[in-house]
Amino acid sequence: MSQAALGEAVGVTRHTIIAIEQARYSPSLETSFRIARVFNVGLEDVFGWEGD
Amino acid sequence: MTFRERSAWVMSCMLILVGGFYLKLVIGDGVPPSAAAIPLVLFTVVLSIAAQIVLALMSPRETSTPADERERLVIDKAAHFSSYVLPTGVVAGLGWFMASQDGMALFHIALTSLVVGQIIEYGMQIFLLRSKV
Repeated sequence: MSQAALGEAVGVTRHTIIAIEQARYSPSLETSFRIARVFNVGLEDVFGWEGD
Repeated sequence: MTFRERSAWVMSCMLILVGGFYLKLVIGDGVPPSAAAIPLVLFTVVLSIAAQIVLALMSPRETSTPADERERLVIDKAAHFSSYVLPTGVVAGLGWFMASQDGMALFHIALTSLVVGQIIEYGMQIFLLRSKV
C-alpha cells in the first residue's frame, strides 16, 4: 500500500504518513486506530512507545 | 513540498519583499506613509490572491483537501508563536510614543510588527512542517 493510499484511507495527507513513519509526528488516537484497522491488526502491532 | 508549505514560502517571500520595499520608500526615500501604505497593502492583497490561485492550479487536488490533524497543529503552533510579535511591537511603539511624542514612529513600529509577525508565522509553519511536531 502506498503512503498516499494509506493517507487517503485514514484521512491525512501523504506527508503526514511520512512524518509518522519517520517518528516526526505522533498521530492522534483516532488516526492511530484508523491506521491499525486499515491493516486489520491491533494498535500495538503498528505503534510502540518507548516510555519509562 | 506540500501545498501549505509552498503557500507559506510564497507568502513569506512576498511579505519580506513588499515590507522591505515599504521601509525603503518611507524611511529611505522619505515618501509619506499614507502615500506608500495604501497602494502597497492593495498590491499585497492582489498579489497574494494571484499567488494562491497559481498555487491552487498547480495542485488542485491538494488545495481542495482541508488541513489534516498535523497541519492544523502546525498552523496553531505557528500562530501561537507569532502572536507575541504584534503586541510586543505595539507596546514598544507606545513606549516610544510616550517618550518621543513621535506618532509616525508608532505607526512604523506597529506596521513593521504586523508584517514581521506574519513573516514569523509563515516561517514557523515551514520549520514545523519539516521538523518533529
